[in-house]
Amino acid sequence: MLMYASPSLSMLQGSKQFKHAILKNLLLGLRKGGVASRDMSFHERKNAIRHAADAALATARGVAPCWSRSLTAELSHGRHLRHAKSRPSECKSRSKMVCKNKILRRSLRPRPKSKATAKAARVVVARTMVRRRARALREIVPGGRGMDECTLLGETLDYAVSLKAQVDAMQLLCYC
Amino acid sequence: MSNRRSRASVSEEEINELISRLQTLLPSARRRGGSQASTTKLLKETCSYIKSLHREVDDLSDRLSDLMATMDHNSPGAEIIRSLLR
Repeated sequence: MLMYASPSLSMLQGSKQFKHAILKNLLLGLRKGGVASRDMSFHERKNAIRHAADAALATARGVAPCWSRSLTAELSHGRHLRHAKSRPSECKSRSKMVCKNKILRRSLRPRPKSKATAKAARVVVARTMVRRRARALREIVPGGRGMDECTLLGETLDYAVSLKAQVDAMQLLCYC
Repeated sequence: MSNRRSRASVSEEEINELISRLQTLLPSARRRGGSQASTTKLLKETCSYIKSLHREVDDLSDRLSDLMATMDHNSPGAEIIRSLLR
């Protein structure tokens, strides 16, 4: 398997090498997963493909980002958490993939510190909104739950760029 | 602006830097300003973006699955895939 562990996000973005590493890993994984076999059902094959695609992505990205390590761990536990919203019957026993959104109550009021001005109060409210969004991000970025906000933002960036590369790699395979 | 450093583990500057990078990444990145309100919107867009990428991966997995199911037919695509996988 190829690892293209680029430390720099800007190098990663739109990088051909990264895409090709994913594609190469994907082909290896597909071969290993035996998806060329005719004995598989549609769902079995699709799940094997998805599994191979995510493994290809995580391996190509390397172990530097937290999301990548988390994804690898999820894969080895036989997860299908994030995808497959369109096929609920494909869920394994874990129902984790449905967002357990605890809806923040609107009654959350800003709690200014003792010497806060009105502006500081607005900042606190804004931070609350940001936290709510951060909570949503935690659900969809692998390993997001264990991260502090700053790490989460950086990981989100990295993950989004990597996902795009995964999509591009799979499109290359689909439309060749 | 004194003492805005509350218990949050994130500094404003770090957030702003990551925010601006997110802005360049997102397809609809036309936003300006670093106000907290647009930060929220930006994060929401990021969520949507990642979810849409997940859906694309799912769709592509469907397509690949169909493609491979028809591999015993001699279409050009099947030929290529077959040679790649053997």
